[in-house]
Amino acid sequence: MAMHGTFARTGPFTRRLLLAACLMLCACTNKLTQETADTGPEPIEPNATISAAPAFDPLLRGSATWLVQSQGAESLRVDIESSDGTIVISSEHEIPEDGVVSGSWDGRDTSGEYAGTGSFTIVATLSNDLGESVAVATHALEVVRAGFLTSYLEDDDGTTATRTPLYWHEIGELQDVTAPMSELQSLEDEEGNAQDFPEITEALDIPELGMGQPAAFVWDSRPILTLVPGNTSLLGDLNLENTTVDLQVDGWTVISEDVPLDGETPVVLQPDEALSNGPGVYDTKLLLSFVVESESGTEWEVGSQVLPIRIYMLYDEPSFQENGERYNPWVAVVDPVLRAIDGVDPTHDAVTNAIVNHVFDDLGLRYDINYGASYYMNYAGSGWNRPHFYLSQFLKRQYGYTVNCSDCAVILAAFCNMVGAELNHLIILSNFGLNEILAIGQPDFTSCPFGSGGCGFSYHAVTTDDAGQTIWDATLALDGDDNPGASPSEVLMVEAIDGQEYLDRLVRSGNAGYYYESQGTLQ
Amino acid sequence: MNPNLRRRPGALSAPLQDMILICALISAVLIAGFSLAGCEPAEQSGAIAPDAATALAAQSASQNENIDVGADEQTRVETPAPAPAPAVAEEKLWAGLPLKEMSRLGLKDLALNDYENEWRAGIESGGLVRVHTYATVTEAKEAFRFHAVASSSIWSDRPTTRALPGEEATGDGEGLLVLRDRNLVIYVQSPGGTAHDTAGRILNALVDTYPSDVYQERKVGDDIIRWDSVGRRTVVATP
Repeated sequence: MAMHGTFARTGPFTRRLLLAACLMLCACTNKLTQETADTGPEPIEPNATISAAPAFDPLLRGSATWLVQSQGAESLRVDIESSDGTIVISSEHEIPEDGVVSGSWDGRDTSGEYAGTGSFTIVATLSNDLGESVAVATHALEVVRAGFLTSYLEDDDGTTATRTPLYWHEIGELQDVTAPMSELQSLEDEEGNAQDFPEITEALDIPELGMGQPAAFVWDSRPILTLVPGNTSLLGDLNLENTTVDLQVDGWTVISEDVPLDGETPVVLQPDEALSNGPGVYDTKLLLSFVVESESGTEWEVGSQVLPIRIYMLYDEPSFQENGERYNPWVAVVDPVLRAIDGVDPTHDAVTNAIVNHVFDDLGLRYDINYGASYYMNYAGSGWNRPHFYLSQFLKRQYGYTVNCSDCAVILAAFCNMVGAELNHLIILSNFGLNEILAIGQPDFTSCPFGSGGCGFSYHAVTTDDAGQTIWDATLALDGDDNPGASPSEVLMVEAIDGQEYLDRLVRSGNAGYYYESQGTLQ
Repeated sequence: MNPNLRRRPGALSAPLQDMILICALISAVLIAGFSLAGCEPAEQSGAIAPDAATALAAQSASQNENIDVGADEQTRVETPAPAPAPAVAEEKLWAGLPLKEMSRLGLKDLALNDYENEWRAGIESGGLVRVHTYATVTEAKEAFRFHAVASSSIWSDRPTTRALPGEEATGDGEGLLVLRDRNLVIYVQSPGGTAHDTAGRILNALVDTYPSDVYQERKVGDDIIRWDSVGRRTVVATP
């Protein structure tokens, strides 16, 4: 009635349209009813399809997952058969209503031992309710072993990457940049587990045996990573000849010849872009993924291996004027320094300013307000132009945390030159009274850092890169307000300050000038 | 002249000592006069001053008498290793301190300077010692004047309160002491206030015989450096 009433209220065109639709629907329904009546329910031909990876590495991936989609059967038996037809392992399954059964194989036989590498077949056999076999599906599965034993980080003489050897000061040894960054003796450990590459050593003074080594590159480098594959395994032959296994690393591209992993040919990769935006520490664990492609084009991960990497991203190559192995970045210096300045803009002044802050704030140093004497350096021979820094002793804080200006100048210069920001030692002479200063590690501004009767410097050591036109000083902060000679005082860190302004703010009385720009030596 | 100048007991007879003192005073006056007369005051400047000797000379006059570490130091080459025999026949030189005596003297953690004839060691009770060995007494005197200035950045008029060891010395003798004796300059920093005692022990342990043994040898840059058992450094091979 309601439908009829609605029909009556529609216009003549709409009524004709609805009528036509109704007639068509009736005709279709009639045809379907006739066909069903003629043939009855179509019997379902028992069938099954198997979805699984074409290959897997039981030690890297743990197990290969398979999925059987079936119709027209009551139960399913899955066998893993070796290439000679031997059944390695079997499993029985009731087929649920949706016909989907899944499982996995860990590469082991019924006794729990690895079946080894080679060509295997997943055989899915469907049975009816009488237990009779009604259909069989198969899927080829290669069991492979993949992995690398040795990794190298190299440069290409500055075209896309510049590497600098690191210096292990405790043994006085310069890193061999052609030596492996990390390496394994075998693909598996003594328990038969697949091995990732070792962690990077946390020691900063001497390389640890069996650990990975850090590397140092100029910050905008794209380091070249070479990986040498292992060629033997506890599982036997690697079985890489029957399938195409490729290496994929997120953010890196394989630049060596496009040869699938074969257990012999090294694979060379390079990051798609610089690893950082400036100086700092690139600390990561690269996931080396071994990938195979099925006939349908689907990519499957065979397994993966982890490669820890630590790269000290320098501002530039070391800027020491002295030659010798020790005038390279010391691990014990660049590790904490680059972590402290991580994220700084890649400019000389920004890097140097950040290192001034690091020395002034982070190292726990305090000015020797009793004598203004140096603990970790002396001027060699009898000249200001030959500062000699006992850096090894400083790193141990062998004489404690008390320092003077010469110490701070050599510390700052050494740190900066190691990360590639050139800085030189500079002497201010002589005998001048002080405005308000905040000496390193001291709580308050004062113009008499040595107490009454000690209101001046006989000399002062700072750093520069341009003969005193620009000054950096980690010994003290200046009073940055309009009256640097009186309280209150405003902290002005000495970071790229004009040389004349520095003297104007530092010196209350007497004559002071810059002399003896030099870099000196260290040990 | 440094008011703390002292002679080692029994080193020289009193008349001879007086003569030397008079000579030294005359020399000091002449040198100071020469320095002041020939020097302009260093201008406060934002760039390196043309004559670095100027400021140092001014400093010498105002604080450390006779200390004149001039621009010629800029071109000084490394102090050569001392010859086995004294350069001047009549000049008495110290060979150095037997390094095996270190622990008996309360010293530890010996560090041999790779670049000059200097070694340093920690003092068991805190602080450190530096011993600089020079080829001649003249060189040592010149170096002492420099180290007396460079040892401390304090500009003050604090008086020294006690007698100091060595033929020349400066510092308060407690926390800081720099002395010269013959061809050695010894620097002692002692936060515990025992610089005088430490320096005295070192002076008493010095020897003037030259051993021919090798205490340590290592490569520094391209050079092979050797130290003998009294802490003297020699470049034994340069490519």
